[in-house]
Amino acid sequence: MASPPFGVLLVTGGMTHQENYGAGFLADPRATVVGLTDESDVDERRDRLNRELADQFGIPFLPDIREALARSDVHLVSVCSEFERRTRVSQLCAEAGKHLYVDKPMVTNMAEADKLVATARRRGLRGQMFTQVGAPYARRLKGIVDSGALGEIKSIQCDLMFAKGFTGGAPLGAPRREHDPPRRFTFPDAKREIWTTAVYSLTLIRWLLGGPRFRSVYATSANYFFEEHYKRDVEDFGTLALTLDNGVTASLIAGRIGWHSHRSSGPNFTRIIGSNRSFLLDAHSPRFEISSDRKWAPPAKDPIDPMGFWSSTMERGNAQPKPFWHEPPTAPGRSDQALFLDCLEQDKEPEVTLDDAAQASEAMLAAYRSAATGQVVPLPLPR
Amino acid sequence: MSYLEWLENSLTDKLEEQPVGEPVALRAYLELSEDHGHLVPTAGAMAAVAGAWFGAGLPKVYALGGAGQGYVSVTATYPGGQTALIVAESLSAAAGERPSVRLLLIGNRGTMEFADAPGADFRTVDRTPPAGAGSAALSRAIADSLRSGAPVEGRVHNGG
Repeated sequence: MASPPFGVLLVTGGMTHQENYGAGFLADPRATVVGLTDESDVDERRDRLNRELADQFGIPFLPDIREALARSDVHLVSVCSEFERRTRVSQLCAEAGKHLYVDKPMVTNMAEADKLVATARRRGLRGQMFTQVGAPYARRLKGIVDSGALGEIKSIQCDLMFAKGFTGGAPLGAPRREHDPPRRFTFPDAKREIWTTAVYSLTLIRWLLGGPRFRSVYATSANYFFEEHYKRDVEDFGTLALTLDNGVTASLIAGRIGWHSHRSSGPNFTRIIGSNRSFLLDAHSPRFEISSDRKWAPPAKDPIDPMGFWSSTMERGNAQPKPFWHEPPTAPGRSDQALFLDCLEQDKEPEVTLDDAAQASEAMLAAYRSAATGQVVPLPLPR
Repeated sequence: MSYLEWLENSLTDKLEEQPVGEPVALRAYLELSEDHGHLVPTAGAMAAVAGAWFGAGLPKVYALGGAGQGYVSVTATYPGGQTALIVAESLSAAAGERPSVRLLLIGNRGTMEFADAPGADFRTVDRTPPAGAGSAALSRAIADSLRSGAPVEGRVHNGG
């Protein structure tokens, strides 16, 4: 069992989720954030964003990642490098013997995923991917499933969409033609929404069920809302229908559907069908619904981040929370970073391991293949 | 008039005003009957209702579950690119479950939510699935998909 403080090295900075994860580690008294680093050959924009976040956090910028990883006061890394670099950087960190806290999704290539999981296992490292399993709604669902009240679980449906972005710019009227494999994952103005949103539901489903593996995927992808996604030829909406090796089935909707599509952060429903009964949880419940003369408008469209992906952009645009619902907490919330530090402190496996992260990526890569071919794709994917 | 026919008619005119822009996707959860034999026809009828709301032809369907499982889960993809995810479940009277319908209709400029407990407020409702040509065709396609484990195109049979 290790003891705090744990030295944390942030890898890759501004305009990534490091803005949130770094803040989470900085807020935890068990962590000491020793600096922010990245690969030495990143482009000028990335280098500037890295230095800016280091300045904002008041931590050193360490320009040589290998030197930073060689430091004995670094026990874990928080990796938020762009999708195309994320596995390579994570592999470097694992080979340096550092515990891994990784943004989602973790990998874009299953052979690289296998290598990373094997390296972490061989080195006796803990690894966790950011998800929503620590969120109060997920804890409520887990309690219900584990209570046995629903009986044997037969199927789970998850509908998770984010209410952000300015809609109406995507031409409609024809099915989207998907690409297999996806050509690219990272763009400044668009995210593949199966890739960045379905990952939450995929990890939630397996976590609720105790870890069965996905066996098949049937998926659709679409461009319904955003000009940015259309121009980048990436989906802003997708559906997956899945089977798991314990006989349970699942379906999910993942998407980004516009600032005005929801009175809070976006629809988030989970339906669980059991042999005794079914249960539907709205993650925004219980809530007070407010009708008043208070008006709300989305922040102005940011030229650098038009979809409002990042906390810094929302802050710069003075984004205001929607005033329509008040959702009182039903359970004490803990940050995902705190949950990972718990695992290091108590020497226990994270609830979403690197292997779980790889499973989620594999299901999503299969989803793109399914959406491209119109067929059901069996898992595991060929390596 | 069956409940699902009423549901279709109740929204068709409103959608002409484009309250959420162009309807592009639907999520539907339906618990209407204890009869497992109604699951596939209910899912088929709801897929037909979604098609009417989308102004689209018959979709391709992929189905999971089955009557023996107590639920049918359908992914329907329409010729115009719209999508519907539909789950029809059997009611468990033993568990005290009541008929319920929850819909999330997603447009390209907003969403509509609908929640109902058919019959709970002393309305007399016919919860049996309607038997229109589109519903029948989609019920056949859903049944074929459940048998084959593959997606199936919805096609109206011409009786010959």
